[in-house]
Amino acid sequence: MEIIRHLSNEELTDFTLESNQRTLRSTLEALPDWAQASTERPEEFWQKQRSMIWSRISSPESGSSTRLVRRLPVLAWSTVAALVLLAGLMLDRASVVPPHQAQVDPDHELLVAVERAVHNDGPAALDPAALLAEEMVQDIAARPPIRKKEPTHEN
Amino acid sequence: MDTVLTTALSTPATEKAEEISADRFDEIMRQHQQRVYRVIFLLVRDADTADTLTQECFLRAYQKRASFRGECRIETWILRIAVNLVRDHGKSRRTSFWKRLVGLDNGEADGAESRQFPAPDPSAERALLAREELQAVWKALSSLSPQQRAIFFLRYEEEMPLAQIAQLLQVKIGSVKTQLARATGKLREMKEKQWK
Repeated sequence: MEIIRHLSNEELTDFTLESNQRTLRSTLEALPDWAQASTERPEEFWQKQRSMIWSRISSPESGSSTRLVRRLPVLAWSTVAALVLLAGLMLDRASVVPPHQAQVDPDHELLVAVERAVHNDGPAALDPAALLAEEMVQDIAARPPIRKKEPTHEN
Repeated sequence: MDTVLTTALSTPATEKAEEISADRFDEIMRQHQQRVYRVIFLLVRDADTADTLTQECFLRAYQKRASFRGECRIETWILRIAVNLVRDHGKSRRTSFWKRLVGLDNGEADGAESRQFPAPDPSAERALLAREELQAVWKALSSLSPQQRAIFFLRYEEEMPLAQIAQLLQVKIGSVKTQLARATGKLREMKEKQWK
C-alpha cells in the first residue's frame, strides 16, 4: 500500500514559489536589467540630487525638527505649568461661595398653591352646576316631611 | 533563479552610528543613491516622485543617523526608510483622492492604471522596451498590496536575500515567502493568459 505524505503549509509555499519561479524564469531574470534601464540617469542628475539633499540638510527648515526635539523638554514643562495654573484657577473659582440666594421650599410653595386654589372661586364653567345644586337644596327644603305609613289592620 | 538565490550584498555588515560623519554620509549617499532611487521608482512608478522621495529618504537618514545602532546593514536601514516613505506617500495619495473627489484638490488622476512612466528619451530604445516590460509586470501585480509588490521587487529586481527582506520590512521569512508565492502566482497567471 502506498503511503502519501501531505505537505506542510511551508513546504507547499516553497513548492509553489519554486514552480512559479521556474515558469517565470526569463521574466524574473530580466527584471534587474529592465529596472536598471528604466532608471538610468546622467551623472548630472545624481549630482544635482545630492546637492539638493545637502542643501536641504543645511537649510534651517530641515533643522526645525531637530530644534523641536531639543526644545521638547521646555515645551513639556511649559505645558505642565500652564495646566497647573489652569487647574489652580479652576479650584480657586470652585472654592468661592456663591452669593446667598433665598432658599425656596418646594413643599411650602405647593401648600400655598393649594390654599390659593381652595380659596379661589370656582371657574365660571362650573356656575350652572352650582346653581343646580342650590335649587335642589331649596327644593328639598320646601317639600313637606314624609310621613311614615302606619301599618293597617284591614284584614 | 540561481543568481537571485545566491547573490549577496557587498556592503559591510555593520556600521556604528558614531562613524557616520558628514563625509562618510556623503560616501554612503553616493554608494546607495541609485539603488534607493530605483527601488522607490519601482514602487511609485513616477520619476518626479521617486526623486523627491529619494531626497527625503537621505534627509531623514542624515537626521536620524544617531539612531542607527548597526543592528543591520546601513543599506537595509536606508531602504527601510525608503519603503516607509513610499508607504506614507501611498497613504497621502489616498487622502488626496478623497480631496479631489470633494473638489479640494485639482491634482492629477489617481490610481495605478492611470499612472504612467515618464516619456522616454527617444534615443534610449532599450529604456523604452524595458519600461514596456515593467509596465506589464506592474499591471499583473496591481491587485497586490504595496508590501507584496515591495517584496517582489526587492527579491527579483534588487536580488535581495529573503532574510534581508524580512529584516528590512520587519516581518518573518515565512511571510516573505508566502507573499512572494502570491506575487509570482499573479504574474504567472498573466503570462499564461498571454500565451494562450
